[in-house]
Amino acid sequence: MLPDLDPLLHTQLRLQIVTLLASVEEGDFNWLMGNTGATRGNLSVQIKKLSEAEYIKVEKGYKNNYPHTSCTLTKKGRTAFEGYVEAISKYIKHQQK
Amino acid sequence: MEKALRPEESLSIIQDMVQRSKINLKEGSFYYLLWGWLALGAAGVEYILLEFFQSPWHPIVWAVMGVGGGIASAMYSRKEKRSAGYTTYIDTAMKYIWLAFGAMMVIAILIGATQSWSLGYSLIIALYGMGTFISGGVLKFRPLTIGGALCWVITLVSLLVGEMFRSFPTMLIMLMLSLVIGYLIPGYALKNAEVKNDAA
Repeated sequence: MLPDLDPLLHTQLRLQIVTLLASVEEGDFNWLMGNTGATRGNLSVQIKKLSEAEYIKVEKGYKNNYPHTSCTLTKKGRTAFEGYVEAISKYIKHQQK
Repeated sequence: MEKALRPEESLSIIQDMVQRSKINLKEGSFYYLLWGWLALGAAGVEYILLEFFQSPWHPIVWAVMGVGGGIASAMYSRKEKRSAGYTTYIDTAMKYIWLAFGAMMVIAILIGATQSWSLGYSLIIALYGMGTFISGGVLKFRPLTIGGALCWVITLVSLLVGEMFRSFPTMLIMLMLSLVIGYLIPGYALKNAEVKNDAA
């Protein structure tokens, strides 16, 4: 029996965001936008969804008089990401059988 | 409508993002070269003040160097963090290593001022070794690790081999040697690696 895939992570942009944040302590909005290739609007929407699910923590503030958004993966988000990677590995192994 | 992914697509996205966020060597050589040259200059000036002018004000050079280097480092770090857009766990570890180093330096200077300058400078050279050695391990950059270990060899030589090495002005020459071996040579090697890394 194959495990269910977390629907929150099973979309391209949200998976990109969470994978990027899993490898750093914190990343800002522009860095995420540059690495995902997403539009500003779409990225904002997906960040909001991940934040509402408490997968990421978002801190909004100002840096040198410019608005600055910083994102950090939470413990819940990291656990979900690890579970997702494990589930995907099982799916791929199953397909290869 | 969000498109559901196939498992291979998910795996490919994860691999791509991991590759993109692979920790590159940030511009760490700047700090080694800045502090290496500043401290080398300060040690040289102190040596001249002691040997040629017998000035009791010789330790003041370190306060001037510390303030100047601190301001330059803080400005550079702010600019670099702004342009990078992310902070890694390695960045945080490095920050705490060098903050601890700075605090220990103040203690070593106090030991020098209250006990003996030779002892204080031996400790300073060992501390340079510690900071560089740990940084080399964290960054997986062997020239830094070797440079750090060589600083400890210089400390041992200055402590164990003959009175001549322990005399204070000579200790300054040992300190300058440790700065070249522990900071400047690994610093230029790191700069070279960064240039190659940026070009890749």
